[in-house]
Amino acid sequence: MTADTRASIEAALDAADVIAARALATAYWRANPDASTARYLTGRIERLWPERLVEHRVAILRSFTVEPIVPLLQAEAALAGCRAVPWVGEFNAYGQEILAADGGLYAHAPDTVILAVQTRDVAPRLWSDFAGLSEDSVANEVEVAASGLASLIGQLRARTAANILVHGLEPPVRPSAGLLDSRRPLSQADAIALINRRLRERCADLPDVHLLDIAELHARHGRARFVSDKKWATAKLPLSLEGVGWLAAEWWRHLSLFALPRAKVLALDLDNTLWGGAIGEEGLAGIKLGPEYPGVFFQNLQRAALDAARRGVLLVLCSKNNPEDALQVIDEHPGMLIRREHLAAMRINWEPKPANLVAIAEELNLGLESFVFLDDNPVEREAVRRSLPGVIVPELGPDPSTYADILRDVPALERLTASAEDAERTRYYAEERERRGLQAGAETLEDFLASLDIRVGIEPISAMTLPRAAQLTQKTNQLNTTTRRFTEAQLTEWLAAPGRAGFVLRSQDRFGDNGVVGVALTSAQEGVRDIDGLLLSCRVIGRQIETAFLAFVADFARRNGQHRLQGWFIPTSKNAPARGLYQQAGFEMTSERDPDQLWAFDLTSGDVAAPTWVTLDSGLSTGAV
Amino acid sequence: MADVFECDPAKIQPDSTPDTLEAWDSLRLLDLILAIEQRAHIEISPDRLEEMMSVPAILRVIEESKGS
Repeated sequence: MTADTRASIEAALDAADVIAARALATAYWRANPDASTARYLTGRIERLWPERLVEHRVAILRSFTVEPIVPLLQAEAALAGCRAVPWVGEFNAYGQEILAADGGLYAHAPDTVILAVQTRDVAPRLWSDFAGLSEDSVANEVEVAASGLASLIGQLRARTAANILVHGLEPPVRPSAGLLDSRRPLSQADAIALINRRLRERCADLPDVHLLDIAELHARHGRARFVSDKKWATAKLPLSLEGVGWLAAEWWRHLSLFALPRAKVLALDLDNTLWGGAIGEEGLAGIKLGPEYPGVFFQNLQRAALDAARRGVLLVLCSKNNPEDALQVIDEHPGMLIRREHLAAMRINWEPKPANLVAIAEELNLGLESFVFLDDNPVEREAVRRSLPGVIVPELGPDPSTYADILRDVPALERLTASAEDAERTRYYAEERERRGLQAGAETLEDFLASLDIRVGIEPISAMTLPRAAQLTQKTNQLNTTTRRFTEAQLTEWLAAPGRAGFVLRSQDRFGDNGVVGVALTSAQEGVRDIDGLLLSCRVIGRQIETAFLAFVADFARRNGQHRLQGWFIPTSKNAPARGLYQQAGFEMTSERDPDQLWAFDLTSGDVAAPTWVTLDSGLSTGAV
Repeated sequence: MADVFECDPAKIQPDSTPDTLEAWDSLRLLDLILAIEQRAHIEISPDRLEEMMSVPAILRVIEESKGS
């Protein structure tokens, strides 16, 4: 397979088809990310990037064997059009190398210096003797390690203009005190995190010094999988095979920020990219977009795009649709997170996408090399790659659950500027404050529920919400009075009969949108309205939203001339949560056909009282599914 | 091996050893071992590293590491 792949890469290069060659090379690398592939690809770099090849000189100061990582870093860089020119310091000599003005480090004239240190050499006692250290000794070790590294970073900053990337420290896979670690005032991971925090502050104080959060990187992939004691013992390589690849990719992720221009514009397709399905075929009610499977994957992608926007990336639309269809979704679909106010430009028409991207670039007065183009359609991607080779076009597979991560992993959309980071940090702390305040302040259940700011919107079941309503009847077992199941067709037919009225309930609280979570099905006959079924999804159980729902239905019944509202509770093995539903709302049990119970409310005697903490919000559309 | 040692594949012969291939040093051998482990989905025991000083020895270690 290797020979075949290489032959096709060579053939593409011989035909001067660099677009095809790069695509093949990238796929080859993803399938075989090892030293052999890496050296092969790095050897083809000039032919892969005849029109644009950036050189980036990188010096690596280290306390462990980094040599296997370097070729992988070079391959990652080569695939992005960057020749990484490495220099590697002596093993564990980084202190001397930083301080020796005439050494190899500065002679290399690096664009970036990576300081690859480890906890075991920077804070050896925290690493291996932690269980035997007193609290004072821990504090002392933290101070010594943090100030020592901080001072070294300052020395390095003073001696070179290069970007500096400092490895943070990693906690061990298993704390040395075992379970007891969590009972100490400062756990082993806490102590190491304290050093990292000091480093982060130090880096923030100095220009162009950045922290590579190794603890976070290990955690993302799994600490136990990242490291290898065997490789450390035999080759002073503390990483597993996978860890070597992950670290190389992370190095490139950071280096690319310094080596390559930042993308300024993210151009998004619509159908099957921002939402599931084609709006022109499936209509507003048919497309998949909302907090449920599978619409949630598209919301996740929208969230990732909005996060890029918060870093200063402009969002634009480039899609083939009828503009009025697409704009209706953008303006009206409750599942949309990206709205008009987030968009810097739009081209929604039937023109070729490369032409539309050119038009957008002109409108924004930006070069096309600062564009990322995201489209699920391989044909469109190919068209853009061929016509506009400067545009970054990430590969999207058939599985939309991967789209958000693919977007988040595009290095060109990353930023390291302090202003953007500050904005994020401010928001983060504001939210944390709010959450903490909430827990501390919520003393009674009522207070707590009131603090949630629960809002519900209730509407008759429409064509758009019917699929979700039927789905809820199928899968809701707990807070469900009668557990009647309906398919979409059955529900449509049921609702069509005279006297029938069905409602869906959507709920929101201060933590977010829960989507459509409730259904009530009723039928009227001779002044009595029967509740044939009332259900709420388990995710909103315990908030008495059901009472607010009953209050709404009671009001509806009275306005339609009924004097009595009644409903059966039919117990099952799972619906105990629905047992007290009618009693809680002030209904009385009027008959019992063991085990079933009929509960009724006399509408001439008063209202069903909705809980004060649930606000009926008529502006809250239930349209989303 | 030729990729890792950055040489002409023709230079890799059954009798190649660290003495006949300039780039064959301990760090390149580490690269090679990692690449072999990745491609063959095996883990080579630290006990076998010292043996891997010729092409036949490398092939033998790979074979014997499979299924272990």
